[in-house]
Amino acid sequence: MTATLLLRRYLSEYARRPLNVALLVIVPVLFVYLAASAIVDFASIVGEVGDPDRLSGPTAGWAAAFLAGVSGFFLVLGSREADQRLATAGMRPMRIVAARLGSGLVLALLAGGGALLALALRTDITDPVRAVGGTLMFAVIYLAIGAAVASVIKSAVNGSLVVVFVWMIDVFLGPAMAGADNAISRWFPSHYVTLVMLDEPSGHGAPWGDLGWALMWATAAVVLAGWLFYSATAGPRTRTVTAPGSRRYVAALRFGLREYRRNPAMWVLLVVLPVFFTSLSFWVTPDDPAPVRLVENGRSAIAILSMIDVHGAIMVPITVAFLSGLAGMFVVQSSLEADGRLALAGYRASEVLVARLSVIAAAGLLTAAVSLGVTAVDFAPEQWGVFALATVIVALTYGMVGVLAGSLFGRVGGLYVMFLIPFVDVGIAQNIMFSAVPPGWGRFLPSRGAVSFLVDGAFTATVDELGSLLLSLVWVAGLIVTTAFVFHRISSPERI
Amino acid sequence: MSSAAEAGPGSALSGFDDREFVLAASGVTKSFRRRGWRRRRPLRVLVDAAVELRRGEVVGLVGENGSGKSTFMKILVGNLARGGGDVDRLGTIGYCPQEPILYELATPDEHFELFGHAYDLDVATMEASRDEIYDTLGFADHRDVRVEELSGGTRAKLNLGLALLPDPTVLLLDEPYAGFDWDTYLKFWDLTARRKKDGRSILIISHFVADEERFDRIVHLKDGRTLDE
Repeated sequence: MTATLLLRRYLSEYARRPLNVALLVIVPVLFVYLAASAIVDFASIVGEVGDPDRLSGPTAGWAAAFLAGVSGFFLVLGSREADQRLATAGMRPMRIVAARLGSGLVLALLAGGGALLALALRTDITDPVRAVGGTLMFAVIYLAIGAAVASVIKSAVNGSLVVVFVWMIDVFLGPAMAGADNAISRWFPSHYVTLVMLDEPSGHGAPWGDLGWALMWATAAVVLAGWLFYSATAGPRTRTVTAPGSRRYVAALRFGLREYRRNPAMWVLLVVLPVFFTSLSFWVTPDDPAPVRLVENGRSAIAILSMIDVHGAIMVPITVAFLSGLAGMFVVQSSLEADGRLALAGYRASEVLVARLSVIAAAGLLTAAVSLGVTAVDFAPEQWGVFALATVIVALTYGMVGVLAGSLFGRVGGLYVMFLIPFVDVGIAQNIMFSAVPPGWGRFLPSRGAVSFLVDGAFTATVDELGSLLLSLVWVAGLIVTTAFVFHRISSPERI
Repeated sequence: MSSAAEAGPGSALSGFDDREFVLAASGVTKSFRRRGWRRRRPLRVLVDAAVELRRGEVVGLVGENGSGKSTFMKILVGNLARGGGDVDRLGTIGYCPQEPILYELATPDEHFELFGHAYDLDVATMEASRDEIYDTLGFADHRDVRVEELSGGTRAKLNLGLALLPDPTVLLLDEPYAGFDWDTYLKFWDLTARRKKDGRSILIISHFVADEERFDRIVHLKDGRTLDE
């Protein structure tokens, strides 16, 4: 009875933010409908499972996993202290743990349902039991990962980044991409579930088979998360006590950078992820021919390039867009209230905004520099200057998109959105790996100009895409103006 | 805020003309749109709220939980847009919000440095004021500790300290002593008495007034309206 009451209360708590519930359905639907085909194409190119129909199955699981992980994380983190208080007041911690994980499971089912619906619309689900069961296991495993991370890490920024990082490694180094018999990936959370959904035997030899392993992973993940959450809820928790104009701007900027430096998760993310993804793209891509439309000396023609080079080049803006977006979102979100107080104390909203945007630009530049440095090991663009400039423009563009997503959708919704937009825009709509000419609808998305300019710099010896450069700068300027407007509204409510 | 606008024609009170009042608000209203799935009637928090603060005056603003005290103070500070009414302020304002609004990854020293810039204080003035606040409230030992590692009481001290830093003409304090130990509570009132003597004006929000004799006047807020005691 009490557990049911708790479950109902926890679910209604989440449902009181209608936007989060809507995004919980919209994001997996869009992900599976739009992004999944690109991932399938990608997996077909780099992986050993060549059949696109079989590869479609896990995409629903991946979407459900991401949503379940993020919602599980915030579900536990957002009420950690209140749950501890409830336990102190006499509620049995096991009931609290069961109700929290139960409500998370309902949300995971919602996300999984949306993903499966989109999958059914996209392809024929030939084996519904496998698809539904696999998606559910994905969701359960990641729900547990989200809850476990929230039980251990207090910071919303660091914890959610850990969840996203685990998901990315799991998906992009998992058996769909790197093959079923990879010794490292068999330790990844969704290794066996992916193989079950692919109907691909792992050959790891155990009497209970891959389904048994997958179920064991799901059970172990829930037990571990339950234990960590139980310890965090039941255990005693005590707090450990341990010049106008440029001068003001410099002080605010120095302060912002110092604050940023103290967030180790962001550092890891901005340095390790570009190294990881860019290097990985060179290592895993087969040296197949890739047709790409290029403009050189004013003449447009289809050139046949190496898939390795194409993948390596396009992975730079994908990585940079994703990371700059997250940095933009978290840098502003984590200090929005305190920035408001600072503006109230005398800083002009524009000074605070410029300082914050400078920190985001610094984060974007760092990510861009690391990505370019790693790229230089395996690939030499025809025009380094153009390639680097385009990368920086992508970083600035998505830094601003991140600020806006955080301001408009909040932390949870913003994270969903910042997962989806770079994927759909840079990953699909501008991706020359999948099509010699990127799709027409991509011209309305933020990175069209910058990525076209980047491709021009990567593969031609002359600058022909000045129109694209102009388009990208218009996007950056437009986003800066919009961001300034939104930030000003937040910082100076009296003047609305 | 470092410098509030001086009162002009149409001010809430004519007392501004002879500089008697440093803060005056009248007829202030505020409603909030209610969130959720269903469209519901806005929540009316303030119907007709007013307050005047003279030089060297310590005024208490009291009312039940949810009576709109913090909303009223945010409007007085300029942190929240009002629905209607007039608010006039004179001189610098120091605001201490009810819940500490701080940068989790920064230390108290770094907060004072940054807010010193915000208030446009020169380094020597900021440092002198900061050290006095450390001494008075007794948290100099934690000056290099990140906010995320501070106790609730020390956060409350820093929260108040940021409002005190510029020695403002008007101090607007929302439950400033919540979380203080008895010794710090007494120090807080000593500090208030000193600032009052120097001609500073202070408006303090409280659920109830335990030390009535410390206030010059008490203003009650009930059903969105203010009543002078």
